[in-house]
Amino acid sequence: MPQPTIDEVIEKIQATAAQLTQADAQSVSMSPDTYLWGGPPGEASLDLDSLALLELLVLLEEEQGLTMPDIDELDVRPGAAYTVRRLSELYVAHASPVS
Amino acid sequence: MVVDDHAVTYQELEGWAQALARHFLAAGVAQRERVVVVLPNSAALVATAFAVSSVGAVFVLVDPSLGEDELTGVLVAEQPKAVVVDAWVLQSAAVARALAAWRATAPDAVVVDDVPAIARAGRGDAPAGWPPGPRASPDDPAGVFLTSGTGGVPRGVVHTHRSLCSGFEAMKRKLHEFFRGSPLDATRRMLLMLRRYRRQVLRPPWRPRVWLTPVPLSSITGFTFVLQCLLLGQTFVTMRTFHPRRALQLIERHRVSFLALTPTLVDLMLRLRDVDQYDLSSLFVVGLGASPARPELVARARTRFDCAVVVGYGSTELGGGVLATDLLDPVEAQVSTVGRPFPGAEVRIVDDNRREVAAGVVGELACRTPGLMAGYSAGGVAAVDEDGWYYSSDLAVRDGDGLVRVLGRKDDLIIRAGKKVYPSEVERVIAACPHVREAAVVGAPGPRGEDRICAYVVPEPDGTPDVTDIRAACRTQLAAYKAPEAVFLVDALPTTTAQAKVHRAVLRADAQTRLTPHIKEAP
Repeated sequence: MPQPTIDEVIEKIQATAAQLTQADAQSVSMSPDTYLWGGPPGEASLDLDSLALLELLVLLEEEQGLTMPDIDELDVRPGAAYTVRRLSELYVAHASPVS
Repeated sequence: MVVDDHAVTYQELEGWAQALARHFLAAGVAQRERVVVVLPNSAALVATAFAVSSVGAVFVLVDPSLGEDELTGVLVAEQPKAVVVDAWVLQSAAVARALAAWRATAPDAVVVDDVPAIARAGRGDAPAGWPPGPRASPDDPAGVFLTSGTGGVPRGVVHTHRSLCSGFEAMKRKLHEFFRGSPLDATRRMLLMLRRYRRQVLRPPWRPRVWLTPVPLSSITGFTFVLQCLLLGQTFVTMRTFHPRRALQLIERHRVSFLALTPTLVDLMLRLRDVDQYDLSSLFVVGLGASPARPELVARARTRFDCAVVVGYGSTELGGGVLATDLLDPVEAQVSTVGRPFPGAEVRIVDDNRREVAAGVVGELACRTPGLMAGYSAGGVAAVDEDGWYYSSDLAVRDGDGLVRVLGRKDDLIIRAGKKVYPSEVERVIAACPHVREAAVVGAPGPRGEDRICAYVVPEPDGTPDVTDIRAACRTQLAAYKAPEAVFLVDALPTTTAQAKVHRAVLRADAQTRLTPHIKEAP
């Protein structure tokens, strides 16, 4: 299975995160720069907590074939932040697709 | 003790605790004074708790993910003499700001930000006169564990040395009871155990058992688990932050026997595509607790882990677990009940007048246990009667064999990530946002059994609240897991006809309807 491009991963994350969040018409649009977790207050964010972030990563593995990054690659310090784009870069840089 | 892949021996752990205890004494930490500990799962957390106890002081364990306001609330309420943090925790802006504000008001207080450095500096000091501080009695306060309060500020639950050790005592009694009765009875039970768990039971008795939990050691569940493991002289494995694949790797690498975690975490582990590639044959018992475990999940865990899965029930106020299924219970009971009370604990199901109801009748679960808290740190009313019965607000039913099934919550508590979220604390934050007339927060059951937090917001006539602002306010003022997943703007909240209270059942049903179609439509 070839390594996906960042754009492909962004698309997969957007589709998968939509399952995880909700149908709230008021929610922010999910651009590549939307914070999935831990973004600064006031920025476009889906406000996932760390558990929901893990749920997203497992869904990406289950449904999109993307092996979730290892804990050493994931920066889960308090205050760390992930946008859709940053997570995609992490996948492309470190994670290999599940065979 | 092993944290991720870093091992600390018992001797090292004791050395750390002794060095820290001397440091606390030198800093003037006195008997019964509070020491707030804001650390991730680590040897430093365990050593600090032991050090604080050994000088007769009281540790207050705080989850590093608390929001700034919540941590400030804890510091104001507990008035600690010292606060223990580390570099990892200080990277959180919320912790750093709360700590800076507190230090400005408490110039004499002590901040310890590098436990290993203090341990290294104190290494080699003469260990004479241990423990170094005033000797505490079993009924002195030992620790404070935080639980979400209805007022929106985490409530400190005080436990004594005795109540914290009650789980260990119960475990010893359970082991003793296994061999109760005639030698023939005990032999029958042993044979049954061998038949059901042959591989796991038959192992070299001299090899230490390895216990693993990824749940925060700042919780009563995590702390009593590590305490029991260390009191038995076993090896304890934990993780600073949970990662499902890393948890599987740790089980394989360290040949873990006992695994304790929440249903949500075990679900994440079981859904990994390569879960079958790990050697998990060392597992003997997987314990699930802190939130309801779906029978389907318990059955799946039993099959995949090929070991016993026990489901427990407890709370911070009760000092951890008070009920659990047994290794010899029928499989049906193991997957669908929370079992029977631990030795020393009593349970009854009562009606609204607190009279015990018959088997098969639904009522409120009441518990009496040696693990019961000493009280709330800030005082206040606890649901404990004069005979020591704690009323849980959980609805349950007991069958003819004494097995208890928990059906749901009597109040409107939301369980998210195994932690309690009271709607009022989230509503208070939302109600303070601009253009919000009123708000109601409910938990809607998600597809994996986890509550999803939904906020209903009624705008002021003069404007529309900004949902982004509402989310930002929740994220800055509350722990991340308390932030609503969905925010719905509505014209009015449904109310009950009798008392004009918000009709939360209607909102819960509405939230479920709003969320479900979207999940199905998703690609």
